[in-house]
Amino acid sequence: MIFPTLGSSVNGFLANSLLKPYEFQSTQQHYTVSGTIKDAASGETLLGANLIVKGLSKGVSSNEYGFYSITLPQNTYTFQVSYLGYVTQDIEINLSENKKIDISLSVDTNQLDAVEIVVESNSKSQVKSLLTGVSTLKTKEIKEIPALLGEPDITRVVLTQSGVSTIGEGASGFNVRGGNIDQNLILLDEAPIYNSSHAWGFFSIFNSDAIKNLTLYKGGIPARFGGRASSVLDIRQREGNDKQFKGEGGIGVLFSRLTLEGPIKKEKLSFLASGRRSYFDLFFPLSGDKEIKNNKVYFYDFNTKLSWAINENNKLFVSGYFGADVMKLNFKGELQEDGTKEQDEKVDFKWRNATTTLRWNHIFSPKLFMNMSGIYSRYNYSLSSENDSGGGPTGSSGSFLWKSSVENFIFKPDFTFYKDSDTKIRFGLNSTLYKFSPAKVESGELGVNNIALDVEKGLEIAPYIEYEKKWNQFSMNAGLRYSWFSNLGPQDVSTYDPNFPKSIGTITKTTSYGSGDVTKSYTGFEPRLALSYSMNDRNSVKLGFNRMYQYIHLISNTFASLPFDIWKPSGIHIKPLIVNQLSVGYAYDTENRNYNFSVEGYFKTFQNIVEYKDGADLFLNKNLETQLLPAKGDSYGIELAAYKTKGKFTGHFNYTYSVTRRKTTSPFQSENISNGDYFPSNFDRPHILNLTSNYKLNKKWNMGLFFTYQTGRPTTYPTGKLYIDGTSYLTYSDRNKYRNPDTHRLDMSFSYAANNPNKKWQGSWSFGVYNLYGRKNAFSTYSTLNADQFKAYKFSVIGSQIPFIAYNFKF
Amino acid sequence: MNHLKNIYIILVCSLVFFTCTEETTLETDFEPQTIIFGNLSSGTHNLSVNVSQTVPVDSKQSIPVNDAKVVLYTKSTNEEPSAVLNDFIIIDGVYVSTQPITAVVGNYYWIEVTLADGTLFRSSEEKLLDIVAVENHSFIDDNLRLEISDPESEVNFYITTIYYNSESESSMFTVTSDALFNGNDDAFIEIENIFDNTQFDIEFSNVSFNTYKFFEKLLVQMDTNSIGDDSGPVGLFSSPPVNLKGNIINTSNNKTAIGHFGVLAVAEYSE
Repeated sequence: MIFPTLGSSVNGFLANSLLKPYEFQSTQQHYTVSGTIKDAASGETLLGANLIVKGLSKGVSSNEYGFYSITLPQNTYTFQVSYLGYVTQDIEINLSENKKIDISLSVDTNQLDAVEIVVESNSKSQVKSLLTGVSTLKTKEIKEIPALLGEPDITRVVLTQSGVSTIGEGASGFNVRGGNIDQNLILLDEAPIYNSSHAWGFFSIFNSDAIKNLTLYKGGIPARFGGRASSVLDIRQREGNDKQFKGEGGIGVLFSRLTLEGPIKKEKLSFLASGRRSYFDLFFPLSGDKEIKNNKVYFYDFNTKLSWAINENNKLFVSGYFGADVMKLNFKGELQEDGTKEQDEKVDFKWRNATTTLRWNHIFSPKLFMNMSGIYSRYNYSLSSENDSGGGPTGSSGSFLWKSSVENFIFKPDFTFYKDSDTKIRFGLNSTLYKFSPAKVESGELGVNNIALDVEKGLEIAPYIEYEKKWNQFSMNAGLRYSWFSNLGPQDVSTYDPNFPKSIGTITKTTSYGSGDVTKSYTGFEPRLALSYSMNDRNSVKLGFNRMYQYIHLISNTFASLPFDIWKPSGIHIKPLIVNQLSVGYAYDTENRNYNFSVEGYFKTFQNIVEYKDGADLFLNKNLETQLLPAKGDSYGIELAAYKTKGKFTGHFNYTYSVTRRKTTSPFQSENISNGDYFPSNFDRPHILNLTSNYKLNKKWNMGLFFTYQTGRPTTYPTGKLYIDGTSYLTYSDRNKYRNPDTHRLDMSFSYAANNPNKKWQGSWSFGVYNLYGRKNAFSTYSTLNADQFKAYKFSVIGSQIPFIAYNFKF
Repeated sequence: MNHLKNIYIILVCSLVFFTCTEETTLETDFEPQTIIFGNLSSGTHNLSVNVSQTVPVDSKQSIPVNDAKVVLYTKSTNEEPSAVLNDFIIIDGVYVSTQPITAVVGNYYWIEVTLADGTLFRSSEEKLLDIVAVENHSFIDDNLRLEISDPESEVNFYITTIYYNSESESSMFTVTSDALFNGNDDAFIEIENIFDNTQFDIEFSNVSFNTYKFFEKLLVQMDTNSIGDDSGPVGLFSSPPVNLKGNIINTSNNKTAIGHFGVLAVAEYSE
């Protein structure tokens, strides 16, 4: 009898002590404060700015459009708002109703003095970041790293991050945690970019003056991203100053750039226009050599953006990018001994990227934010040759025009619901119509056909939802993406005798599909999960998992990809690539966050990778599948990173140990590479060490250093010789059995800025040396058999020091 | 202005000349392999098959295999396979049939080579295709243009071997697929650097895709093996090097062997 009484008494106590406060809280009115975080001087929105409620372990970050929203019980709060490179601001808010407060942060000009500034935002801490494998870089950081020819280069900066590798200097693209270069979703204002390089891979297409921020997702990729299997590089363009007209630019050795921005209507409508062009061909006419003076070889970029704040709840952005590489070569025919003249020939080779993004931000309520995007992205190349027929017969001109393109039409509504101060739900839909025109050849030559390979279309629709929740020390982002892809006609699809390897000799029938007919559909659930547990303010552990489906594939069998490589969608003969990645991490900050450390490990599996038969014939091949092999792969690694972001000396160190393998899985053993055994991928570089440092010598002078050390990439060596009909040939080892020598390089730069705030024109100089000690890093090793004499050579893309100087300005 | 020009040209051109090639040594493991190579041509000929072993890269001499047994098989669409040649004269690894054979269009042919240790190599069955004729020729810009009657109904692959007299007696071959001219009434193949009025003999062979690919591999190797010491960016945009593996399988381990046995439908044409 006592127990029930006691029990009821205990229950009553619990009810009084626990439930009452709860009831008090639940009945207390909650209000939402929302708005946009901006740069005070330019009005540029700041994405990823932190807003922390002082005294509570609550906070929120601004989204990609600078929008924030946090819901709290009625009270008076002090919000601390911080952003890298800006003065942290405390704002007191009496939250007695829903409030819309736009926050403006000022650039931390004291940073130029750079001595004892201790601001929370000036940190690369990974402790509070929920996702594993995410790197965020601002333009300022990109510009501080010594660059080839002094031109800040986003791709090269991405290569300084842990877990990112490349097959070598001058190669297009980058490899993330064992993924091929086509497994990176590169987004410029949400528009996918298909070729991110100029000059065959030496320079990225991104003009750093037009870029606000980039985020690289290597692991823990949120559900809102999809379509590529290994990483997302999310690059955001600046909106343009909405308060005053401004300009900046630079004059370098290879190219110059100019950016103009300003308000069309103050604080309502602003523009940004940024251009860049290489100009070494402008000097060709100075050459006395007629073979040089008539040619043009250049590339250019043009970025533009219009931002319109229609009203408090609606914003419209129109942004675009257009860039191209152009080669116009003129060859004069020479007079022959018999009096006839060789044909004059003009060769015109161009490859171009073009994107247009239209975005509408709408705030339905302080808790519900929407961005709706309509995107068009196009990559195309053309190669033409015009001859004058010379002394040849009619129709022997050899003229032709070759065109190829990839086009995307994308519609993306995306909603974020800020349920309460700890819960955020993001959901939406990605829909993409792909159109691939692999080759269309028009010939002016009698006897050569006009050729048009089937235009292939694909439709990908992927709804997704992310649920992000914070408890006291525990945070979670759980997401699910469901992707559906259909390969669409019209096209002719061959069926092959399953008892033999695919070849044109084993075709049993060809099926014709009409326009819009579905030739093959694939679907897949793509779960994403990120968990984080903070032991305290300076230590956290993380776990991430993501499954990614990729339905389009770059068809390239060369070490470095080429501008005229083609893309092909999944279909009857090519299955979607599926990648699973598990990653774990630990982050630690020293006191005052002077130093930030992190360690991450990952394991990835790859299903249905496209590999190529030995000597694959990809040229104008209507039956491309006969040259491909199914493959699988895996990669694993550990990444260590350390940052120092405060004081005169700042820097970033990272070391990656990784293994990346491939294995072809054809049921026909004779066509498998390396007899069906695992072999290292072309970019398997187990040890990569990067060191970036910056030292502020004084208010005007700054010094930057970058050092990298990498295991040589795998290669296939000649191992023997044979003779056929008296000619000697070589035999080779299994694929990638050997390695090129290890590579390392040191770059150094100095910058000088007068920093006179009273002058409107702000000029600065940067100069330095790329590859300071002239290391001849081998890109490849090759051999010759001239006159049956075997010789081996190593080829270095850059085999000496490259000095550079550039003048940059702002006004 | 001249100074500016000179400075600029030095700076820019230096980028091009930053590339560098150096001779190096490679330390690799050598393991001897058997090579089998032969072709059966249309018409009536003695069959010749080479059997040898690979040697280290710095060796100057082939190692012939003289104790193998070679058998040529054939079958038509409706017939059982039969051995048609098994008696060969062997000289330095070259197996020449004692009897000629008349290859039949539409029939399949393959060889089996058995080494002294019992290892059996077998080539895949290759069909003797229809002969495609060379109709005419002309010389355009130091190239020899051969007009051919490419059939529209099928995908064709050709090997063109030319024997010609320039400063000395020479021969060379090219490979061509009809991807650019399938069925075109004016289809042609060009052979570069054959000057006007050169005397030549042509063997124009219609072959299978496998045979085309093998000869293409030979050409690719000949090109890459003969580049000079200062050839620039070798390897940047190249494909992985491949072994000269064709259609012959080592049946003891089911691996593809070095070499190839091709069946060629040969049209002859002379100037």
